[in-house]
Amino acid sequence: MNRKQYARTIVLMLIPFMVCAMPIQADNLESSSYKIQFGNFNITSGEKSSSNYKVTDTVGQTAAGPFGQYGSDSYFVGSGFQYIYPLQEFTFTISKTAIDFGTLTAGTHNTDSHTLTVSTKGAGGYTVYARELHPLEHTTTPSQTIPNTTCDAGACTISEAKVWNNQNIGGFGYNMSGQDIPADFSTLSHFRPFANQAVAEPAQVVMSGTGVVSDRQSTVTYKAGMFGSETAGEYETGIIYTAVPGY
Amino acid sequence: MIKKLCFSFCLALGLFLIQPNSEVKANSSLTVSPPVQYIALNPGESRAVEIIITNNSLTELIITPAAVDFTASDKTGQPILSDHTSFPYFSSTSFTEPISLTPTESRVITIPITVDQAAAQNEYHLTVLFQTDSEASGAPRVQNVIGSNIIISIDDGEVLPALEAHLHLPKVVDTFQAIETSGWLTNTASLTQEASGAAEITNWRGSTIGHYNIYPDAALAFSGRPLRFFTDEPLSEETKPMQKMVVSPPLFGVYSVQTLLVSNPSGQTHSAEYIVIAAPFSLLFVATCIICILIFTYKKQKQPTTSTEY
Repeated sequence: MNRKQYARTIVLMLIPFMVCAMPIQADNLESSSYKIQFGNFNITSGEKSSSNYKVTDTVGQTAAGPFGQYGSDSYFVGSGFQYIYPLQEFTFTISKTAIDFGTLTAGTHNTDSHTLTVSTKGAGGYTVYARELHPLEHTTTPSQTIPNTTCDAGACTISEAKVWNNQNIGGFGYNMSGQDIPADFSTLSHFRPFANQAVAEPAQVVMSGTGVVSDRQSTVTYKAGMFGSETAGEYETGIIYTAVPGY
Repeated sequence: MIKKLCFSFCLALGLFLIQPNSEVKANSSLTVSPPVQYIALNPGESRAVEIIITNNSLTELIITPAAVDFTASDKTGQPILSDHTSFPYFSSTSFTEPISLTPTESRVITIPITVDQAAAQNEYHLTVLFQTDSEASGAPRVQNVIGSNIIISIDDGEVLPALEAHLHLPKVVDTFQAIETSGWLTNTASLTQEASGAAEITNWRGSTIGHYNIYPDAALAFSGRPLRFFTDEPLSEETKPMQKMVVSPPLFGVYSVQTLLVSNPSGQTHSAEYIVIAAPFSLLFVATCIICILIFTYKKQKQPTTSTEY
């Protein structure tokens, strides 16, 4: 048999396969009243444990990964049911935990700032609440305080920010800028006082989002100023940020 | 000359190397896994619930776990934390010892739960909070607290009523105005139920002009949350739920918005229909104004003018 005849024979043998190939029926489990997402027929799967170990497995799934590698390939695909577990994480980061206003002088506002960052794979979203332990208190005479700000017109509250630009008006407050922040922080000049835990004021929402989010970031700018009648010395307080995922 | 340059360079490099290290600014970063768990227990059953806490910070952290109750906000559906817990089936001190985590270290917190044999059907909503108390080098002035939610259902087989979907729809809209629909999911059952189903918008001819799937959100016992929709199929991790259904203008006639909601796991269904009438009200208003102006102008012209003789 010469080459031409050989090639013709191969093509003729392949034609029935090309013409008669049936569509592949995947295991898509659904009816008029339900639809199972991520349906899969396998040999065994689920959680197994003993006194010495705990393991989850999925045996027999098709095209289980990983494919590619970080650092050496231009791609990474985590394919298969076992990669669902790393998706169930909620992360909250505060860029720095010490806020320092330096030396306060009457007629001047001092500021310092840090960022809040949230990531979640859950479709329920998240909320971040903020509250202070108490107003800025003198470290040796706690009855001496720098009170929480009421802003320029005396109208800002723990839940509604107003403009605070007048440096002759002292106090302690914060501004938010960036992503997922409350709408009342409309400019960098809008400030709120913190909710005061010492008098049981409820913590206030400072960030919130719905759905899956990745590295949503906001900047908290703290501001403090003196009225001029405060006792000299160091003043401090603590701020508590509570990040809660949705459900 | 070259020797001088090399010496100067080495001197500058040495000065740089012997400078005191600038202060490392401490950050605080925590991860919990999973962010939410749904635990179904029968009366008399025991379970150990696990949460993994990870320190992603640059410094060692001392973390104190605590459990508090939460309720669902009736405006956003997000958790509102209480300052204590009333959950009766665990020891709140069994997992609240402070733990120390070095950077990148993870720890599994185990919460043993034992339900009374005589426990009635009920649901408890908890958030386990992990609070940074003090760093190894001193107390931080800004504290990071991260939570992980646990919804514990005690099911004794009681039949659950269906979830209900209520849409906020205008009864009439202008022809040049879109129909925008948001909604609320209400669960009057004593256990969490998950929503599924669809909403369909048809015109006066019966043709479907909009089809939305109901996002499979969980509505906690005796609570509600905003209804969310999606159009991508199949549902995937990348699907972004929508807060509203929108039908774009121009619109004219009678439109019907029908919802069919299926509750899981009860399988109960709830359906509703809303009617919206679209008409060119703005055009009618403008036309009416023009006619009025014309009539007024015509009448003014028709009025006899009076003249005075001197």
